[in-house]
Amino acid sequence: MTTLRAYRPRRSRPWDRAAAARFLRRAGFAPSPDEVEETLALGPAKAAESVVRSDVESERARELDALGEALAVRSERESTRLAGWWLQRMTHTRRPFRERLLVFWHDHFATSHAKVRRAPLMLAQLRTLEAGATGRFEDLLRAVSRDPAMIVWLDGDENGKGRPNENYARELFELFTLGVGEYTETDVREAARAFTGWHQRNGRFRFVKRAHDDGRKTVLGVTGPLDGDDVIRAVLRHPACASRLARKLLEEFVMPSPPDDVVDAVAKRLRETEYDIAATLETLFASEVMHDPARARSRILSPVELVVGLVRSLGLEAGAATLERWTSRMGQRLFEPPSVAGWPGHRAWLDSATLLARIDAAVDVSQPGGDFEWRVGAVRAANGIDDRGEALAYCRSLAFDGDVPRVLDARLRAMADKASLDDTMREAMCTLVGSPEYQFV
Amino acid sequence: MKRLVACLTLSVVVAGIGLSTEVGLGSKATAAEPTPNAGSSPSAGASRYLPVDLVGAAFLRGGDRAVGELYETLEELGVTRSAAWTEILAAPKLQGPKFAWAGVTASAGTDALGGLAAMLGSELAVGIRPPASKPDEGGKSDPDWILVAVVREPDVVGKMLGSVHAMAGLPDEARTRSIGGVDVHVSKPDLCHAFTGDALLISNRFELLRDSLKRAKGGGLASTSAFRTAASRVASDAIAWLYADGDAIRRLAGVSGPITPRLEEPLGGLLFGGLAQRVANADLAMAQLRSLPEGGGLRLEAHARSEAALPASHRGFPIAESTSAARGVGSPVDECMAVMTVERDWADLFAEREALLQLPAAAKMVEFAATMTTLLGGLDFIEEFLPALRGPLQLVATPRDPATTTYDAKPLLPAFALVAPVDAPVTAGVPWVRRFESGALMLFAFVNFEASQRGDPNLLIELESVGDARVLSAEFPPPPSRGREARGVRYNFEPAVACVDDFVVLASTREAAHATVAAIRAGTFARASDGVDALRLDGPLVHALLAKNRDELVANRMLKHDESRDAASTAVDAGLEWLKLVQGVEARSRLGEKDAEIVLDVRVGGAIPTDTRQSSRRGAAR
Repeated sequence: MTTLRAYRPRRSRPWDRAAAARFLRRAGFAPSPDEVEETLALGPAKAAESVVRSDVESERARELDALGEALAVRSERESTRLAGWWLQRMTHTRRPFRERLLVFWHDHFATSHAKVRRAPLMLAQLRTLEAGATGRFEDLLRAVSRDPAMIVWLDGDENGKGRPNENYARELFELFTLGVGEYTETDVREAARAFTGWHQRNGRFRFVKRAHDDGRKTVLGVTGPLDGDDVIRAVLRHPACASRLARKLLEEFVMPSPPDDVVDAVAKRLRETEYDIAATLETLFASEVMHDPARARSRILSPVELVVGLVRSLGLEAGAATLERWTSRMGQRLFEPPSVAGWPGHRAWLDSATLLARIDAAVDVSQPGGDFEWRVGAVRAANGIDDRGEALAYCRSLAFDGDVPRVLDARLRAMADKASLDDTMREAMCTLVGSPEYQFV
Repeated sequence: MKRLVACLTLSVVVAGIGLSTEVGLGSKATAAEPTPNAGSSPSAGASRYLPVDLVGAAFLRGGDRAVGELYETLEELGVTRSAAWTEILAAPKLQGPKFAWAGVTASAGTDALGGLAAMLGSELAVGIRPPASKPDEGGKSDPDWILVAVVREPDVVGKMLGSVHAMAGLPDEARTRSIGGVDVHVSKPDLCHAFTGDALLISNRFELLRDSLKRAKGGGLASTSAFRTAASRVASDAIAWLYADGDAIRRLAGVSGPITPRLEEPLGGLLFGGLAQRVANADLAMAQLRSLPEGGGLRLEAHARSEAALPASHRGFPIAESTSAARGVGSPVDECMAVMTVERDWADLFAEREALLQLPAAAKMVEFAATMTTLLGGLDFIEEFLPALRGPLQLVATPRDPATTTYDAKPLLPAFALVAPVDAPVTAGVPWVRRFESGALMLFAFVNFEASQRGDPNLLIELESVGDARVLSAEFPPPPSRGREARGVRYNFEPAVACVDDFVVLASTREAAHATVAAIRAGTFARASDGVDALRLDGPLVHALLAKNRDELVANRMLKHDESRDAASTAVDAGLEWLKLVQGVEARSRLGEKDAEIVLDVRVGGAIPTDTRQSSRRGAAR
C-alpha cells in the first residue's frame, strides 16, 4: 500500500523555485515572486507546515474581513456583493491555503443563496466553515448540520416528528460523507427522523423538542433513540467516509482521478488523526505525492483559482465587483453553486463560453485601463527590466515558473516587438495567460 | 463670487499645467485689475478663426483676467494650502511640464501664472471637426481639433513662442510654411501652430489650421446663421459656453431624417423621453456657464433648438415656454432635503410606450401595469389609475433621525413621500379613493405574505384617521428581546398611504405621510404646474445624510476601488469636506414647441478645509 512518504529533495526532484511555485499553486493560488522566495527558503516540510498552520494575516485582508457582516446586512437579498468581498479578501490574504480550503468546503457543503435568499445566513455559513475548516471533520459536520443556511437550503424546518423530510439526511450520506451505494433508503429515512426538530428561526439554530422524534432508529447498523449527532458518529465510522473525503481532497489539491492506493493512504491518515483536516493535509502537502512533477498541469484551474491567482501573482488591481464578474463569467458564482452537488468542476469548467471568458481575461490583463490594471511600468522599475530578453524571462517565470511549454515559448520568441517594452510585456503575458496550458495546475 | 466662479471653472486648467506655490506671481497685479466685459460679442473673437464645417466648439471668455482672481480665490479658500493641492502639484507626471513652463515664461519676462494668463487671452476657443478621410493612416479616425486663443498681450505670447521655437528648432524650412503671410509651424506630425499677432492657433491637422487662416477674413464660423443664433443666447457674463451643430453631428453619425430615440429604461423614458427626442433632432444646441444672477454660485444653461415639432407620440410631455417661473421648487414640508416635480400625461405615455421605449422596456411596463392591477384589487392600472392622475407628481425627501427608527437601516435613506393630485371618479357608486385604499391594503398584505414565506418579520398594519384624511401605514415589529439591530436598506421603508382632499400620498414612513398630509392641508403642494420639471436639493441636509452613511461609503470604496481603509477614509472624508461647499442644487427642464432647455443652479458657500487629509485621518481614528 502506498504511504504518504515525505518528499526528500534530490537531484531528480529538486526543491527549487519551480517546485516551490508549483507547490504554492496547488495548495493555494498562483504565487507572487516574493511568496515563491519565502517558500523556497523554508524547505518542503516547513513549507507544508507553514501553509497549513500559519495564522499570519495581512492588514488588508483583516480590514476586508471586518466588512463582511455589515455588507451582508446591506445586501441581504443578493449574493454578488458578498461573493466579490470574499474574492477580494482572497486576493489580499497571506493564507491562500485557508481560502482554497474554504472554497473546497463551500463546494462540498454546497448551499445556494438562490434559495436561502438571505446574505447574512450565507455569510454565517461561511464563518461556520471558516471556524471548522482545518479542525476535525466531525466538528465541522456537527456545525454544518446546525447551520441555518443549510437548514433553509435542505428544508430542515419542514423536518418534524411524524413528517420527516429526508433532504438533509440524504445529502449527508450521498454528498457530504459516504457517496451513493454505501447506504440504504432505510438508513436515509431513519436518519431523517434523527434530525427532526433541528430547525432555525430568525437565522439561529433552534432545537424544537416537540418536533423531534426520539423513538428508536437504526442507522448504518447503529440502533437507539438516535439524534443527529449520533448519525454523524455512525457515518464517520463507515469506511467509505474517509475514502470519499480523501478522494475529494486529492482532487482539489493534487490531481484529478487519483489512484486508489493514494486515496487509501490519505483515508488512512484521516482515520489515524480522527479526521483532523489540518494534520492530514500537512502530511499530504509534505509528501512525494504532492511534489510529484509528473502530475504538473493535470488539473484544470477553477475560475476562482484562475482569477485570484492572476491578481495575486501579477499584482493586479481589481475591485470586488470586477472579481465577481469575471469568476461568474467563467462559470463559478460563489454563494450560488448550481446544485446541492456543488460545481461539477474539472473538465466541466471549460466550455465554449467559459473558455472565451478565460481568454478575454487574459486580453484584459494586456489592456491598459482594462478591468485588471497591471502596472507594467512599476513592475519593470521594481525588477530592473530594461530589455526584451529580461521582460520575456520575467513573464515566463511569473506565468509558468520558468517552465514554459515549447509551443508557447516559440510564440513568445516569434512575437514582434511592440511600440514599448511595456506593451511587449503585456502582449507576452496575454499570450501566456490566455494559453490552454495556463488553465492547468 | 466672480472669483469663486473663476476658481471652479479654471481650477482644472491650472492644476493641469502644474502651477505651484513656489511660482512667483509677478503678473498677478495685472491679472487682478478690474475686468471690462471680456467678450462683448462672442462672434467677434476666436470664432472668426473657426471654420464653418465644425461639429461643435467650446469657448472660454476672459480667461486671462480670471487666472489671477482664480489664484487669489484658491488662496482665500485655503485650497493652495490643502494636502490635495500639494499632492496634485507633486505628481511626477507634472514635474517635467512645470519645469519647461517655468523656463518658457521666464524667457518672456513673466512667471507661470502670468504666462498662463497671456496664453488664455481674452477668448479661448476649441473647435472639433469630423475626421478627414485618411486612407494612408489605416483608417485612423481621431477628430481634428483646433484651439484659438485671442490674446491681449501679444508681446508676451510672442516671446514665449520664440522660446518654444528655439527649443524646437523653429522656424525650419521643412516644417514651416507661410499661409497668407502667417507662418505655420509643424512641430510634430499631429501638431502645428501659428501666431497671427493677436491670435494663437494650434491644431492637430495642418489642413484645418490652413483653412482657418484662409477663411478668417470671411468671418469663419461666426458667419453662419446657426452659430449666430446660438451666440445670441450667450449672456454677457457667461464664462464659458459650448456650441454644437446638430445637423453636422447627425451627418457624422450617418443619420438622415428625424430620429426617435427609444430609451432602455421605462422610468428614463417617461422622465426624459421628450428631452431625448428634442436633443436628438436639434438643429443646434448650446450651453453656457455663468454666475447665478443673485450671486453665490454657478448656473449651467443648456438649450437645444429644432424646427421640427415633437411627434404625436410625445404628446404626454407638457409644453412650457419658460423655466423662469417654475413652481413647486419651494419646500412644501419642513426640513426638505429634496423635492422633485414632474408633470406628465401618464395615460398618454403608457399608450405610446412602444414609440418611447425599446421593446423590452415597453414589455416591462405592460408587466408592471398587470401586476399593479392585480395588487390594487381590481382597480385597473391602465384604465382607471393612470387617467386619475392629474397635475404634477411631487416627490419629497426629508431626513430621518436614526435614533427614532426601530431598526438601524444600512445605508440610512431619507424618508420619501410621493404626492399626486387625483381626479378621483366614483364608479358604480364606489369612490375611486376607497378602491385605492382597498388596493393598498391588499398590497401590504401581499408584502406580508412574501415576508412570511421567507421567514422575515411581518409588517404591522395600522389604519388611522387624521382629521378627515385616512392614513394606512405599516411598520416593522421591534426585534424580539434584543436591542436595535443593523438591517438592510429595505428597513428604511415602512410604507404608508394617505388620501387627503384630492391628493393621494405614498410615503416610505408613517411620519412622512403625516407631515405630507399636514402640508397638503396647508396648501403647500401644487395642484397644477406650468409644465416645468424641477428638482431641488438642500446641500447641508444631503451632506448630513452622507456623513451619517460615512462608514458605508468607506466600505463601498474599499471594495470598489480595492483600497485600504485608510485610503478609502481619506477619499471619502475629503469628498464630504468639499461637499460642504454646496449649499444647494436646483435643476429645471422644459420642452417648448420648438426647443428644450435645462437649467442647473449650484449654490456654493463656506470655506474649503485647509487640510482634508488631516481631517480625514481624524475621521478614520474615530
